[in-house]
Amino acid sequence: MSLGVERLTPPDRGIRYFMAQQNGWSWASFWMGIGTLVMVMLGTLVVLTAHGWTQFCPEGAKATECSPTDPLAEGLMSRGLGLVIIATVILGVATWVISVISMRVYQTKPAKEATLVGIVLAAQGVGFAGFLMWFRGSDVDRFARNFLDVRLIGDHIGLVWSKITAQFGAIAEAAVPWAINMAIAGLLVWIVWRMVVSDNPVAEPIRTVLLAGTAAIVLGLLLDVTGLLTGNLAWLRITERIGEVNWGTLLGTGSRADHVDGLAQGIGSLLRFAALWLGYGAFAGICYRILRGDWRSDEHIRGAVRAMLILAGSGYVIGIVKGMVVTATLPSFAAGAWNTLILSVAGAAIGFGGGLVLSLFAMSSRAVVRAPARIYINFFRGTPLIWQISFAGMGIVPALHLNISPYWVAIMVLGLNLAAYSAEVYRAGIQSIERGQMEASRTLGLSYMQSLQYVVVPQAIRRVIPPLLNEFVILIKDTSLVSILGLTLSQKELLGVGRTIYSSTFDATAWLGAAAGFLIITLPMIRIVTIVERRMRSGLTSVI
Amino acid sequence: MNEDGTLIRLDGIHKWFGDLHVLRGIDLAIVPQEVVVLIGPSGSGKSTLLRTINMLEEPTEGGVWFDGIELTHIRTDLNKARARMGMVFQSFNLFPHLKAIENLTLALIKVLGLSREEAIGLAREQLAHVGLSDKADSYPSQLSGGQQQRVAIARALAMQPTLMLFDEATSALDPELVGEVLRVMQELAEEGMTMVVVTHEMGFAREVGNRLLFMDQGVIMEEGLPADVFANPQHERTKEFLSQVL
Ligand SMILES: Nc1ncnc2c1ncn2[C@@H]1O[C@H](COP(=O)(O)OP(=O)(O)OP(=O)(O)O)[C@@H](O)[C@H]1O
Ligand SMILES: [Mg+2]
Repeated sequence: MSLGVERLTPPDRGIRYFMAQQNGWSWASFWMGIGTLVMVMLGTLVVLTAHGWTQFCPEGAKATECSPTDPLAEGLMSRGLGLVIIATVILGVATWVISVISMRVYQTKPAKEATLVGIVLAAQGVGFAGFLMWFRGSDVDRFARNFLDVRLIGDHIGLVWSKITAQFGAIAEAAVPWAINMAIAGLLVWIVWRMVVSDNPVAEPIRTVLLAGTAAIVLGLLLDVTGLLTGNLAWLRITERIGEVNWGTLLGTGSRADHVDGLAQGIGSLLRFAALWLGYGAFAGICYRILRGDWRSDEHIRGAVRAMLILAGSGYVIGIVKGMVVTATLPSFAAGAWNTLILSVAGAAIGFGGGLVLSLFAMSSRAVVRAPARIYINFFRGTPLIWQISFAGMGIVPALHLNISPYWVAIMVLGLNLAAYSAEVYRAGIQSIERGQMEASRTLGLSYMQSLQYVVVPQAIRRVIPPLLNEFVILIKDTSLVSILGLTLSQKELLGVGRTIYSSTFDATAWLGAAAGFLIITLPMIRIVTIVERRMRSGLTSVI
Repeated sequence: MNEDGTLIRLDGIHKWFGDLHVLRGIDLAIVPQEVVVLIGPSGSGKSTLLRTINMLEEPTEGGVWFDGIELTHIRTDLNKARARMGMVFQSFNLFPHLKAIENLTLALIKVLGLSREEAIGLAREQLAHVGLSDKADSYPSQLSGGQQQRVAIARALAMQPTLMLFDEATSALDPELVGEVLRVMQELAEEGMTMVVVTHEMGFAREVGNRLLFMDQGVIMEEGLPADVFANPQHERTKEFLSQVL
């Protein structure tokens, strides 16, 4: 190595450097370790697949004679798997022997690292083989029957492909509005975000229209969601109340029922119309501004277009999924996953929005403002969520003769509960912003609320995104608690679906299906949390 | 200006933090274009006094007048008054989520109601003034301490204040960066800005200050022309303090 020579670029420490620094022993240890783990995983998979995971039992066959899991149990007990296990152990031990030598001879750091990787992977492979060996000594047959009947999960995904293909035209068509609405909502969210985190690109009056439009669209979507869920639009109930005044008699014409219906429909369509009008109006306004060049810069147009495209795409996918779920035969894991998603997303919308407002109250310098917020927060954090759901669904709703679907009750309670938890997160985030930020802002003449809006909250939001996402993951899992309310089959979320299937089949694999559904939703979320945290740690100023 | 020709007048200011009596009867009048330098040992109440001038700290007793407005009056719109008083902090307090130029334009747009274009124009002018035209699009974290402090000064100046308050503006800076900030402050004084400066830079106090105030234990112990006070301190405490810092 030539020290003292001036280097202009940092030294290459990539994969090529890693490879170049190996010696024969370290390289062997590295690949043999990988081989050990791959062998046991792949070998098991191959052997089990060769025997088959499930089989079809004729109607009326005795469980002792034929179980769907027989091939799996056979595979688990087979000589083939035994060979895989033995081979894995041999390869693992060989890896360790090589590694011991390698540990004595290595001269470079990459060689040491490669050796360590080999040792660890070999240990994992041997460990897994050992587990299989132990498992083979237990009552494999019974375990497979009770827990590994994967056909059950397949049967209860609930999607009927022939039905889906037959109706695909309709499904695809119904997905288009999802795409459009999501794109517009995405654009609006993006604009609101820009307005919150940075100084305002849009003039005040337009901003007001935009906010109203967003609110209207969100409201419209929420109403639609409720309608979808309850099979009965929520605002129809409001208008029903208005209808009870019996306008028909007042006006002296027609029957009361006619007027209730007519009024309900009329007001309903008006609301819808207003929401759409505001939303699309805002959209048109933005287009106009972009065309007139009265927009900040290309960067913003690009950002807006990107946000719209992404959301339009995901909206379309969501629409398709929704269409497919609608055709599912119940009880269906697919429908359960959909409900889990709706419950958690709607709950999060209420919870994250409400939580921010709540946290501002909770931080007020005035005790009279602070106290109610504290009581609310402590109450919801201090009582079990399952109690809250039961109390609302089985206590308040029947006692007050409210005509609200349990599904809607569940969303409300999940949202109210999350608001309490996220309020604490927001509070911690806002209070973690140095006092000097607020002082500097006030010194410039900004009011307290302006300082919060433009200086403190935008910084705090960035800090609280990871913990809020964590709360969201918790909420996803907590949606399972709503299964104590009497939901209809089509309203049941994953755990409810699992339970329903279990109680009709007594096959515990149903629980695995529910777990798989949760993991499919939560694992990506957990991954996102990690990525966001890493991006924020790396010192980038923005996460969007 | 106040009726008596002063820009700032403090009358019988007392400040308690709980049981801690931090300001103990301060009377102070500052005329336009005056550069007042405030020195004193740590904990003597310099920052607190400075912060009462723009009401970041509300005095427990006493009155503050600024340009004909009684700031201590309950109905006074403090935001409006503060918009005309710049303040520079020891820890810069730039807004880290905004670019340098956005740090300047925020209040121009939100408080003064300028259009974006006007605000950007003004902000660029001010950044040029402190020699940072090329850093307009940098985030605070991408600037050195001295540059950050100059942006902070530009942010205050962009509001076209009638009064500037400096609280140990150079204390958090590496020694080699102190000069650039002091230079900006000196130019500002030469342009006729009214300034109240808390500092440990005795050279600056001597050369730029019109008047020196020595504070100790919540009172103004001694005041006069900087050169006089340095050459000829009257109080024991002042002598002791100066012998430590000079
Ligand atoms: N917000 C506060 N709450 C309680 N005590 C405070 C507060 N701010 C300042 N003090 C106290 O008031 C006294 C004066 O503080 P101040 O910051 O005005 O001193 P200073 O002269 O600026 O000192 P330094 O040179 O160290 O900055 C100190 O004893 C300090 O601990
Ligand atoms: Mg101080």
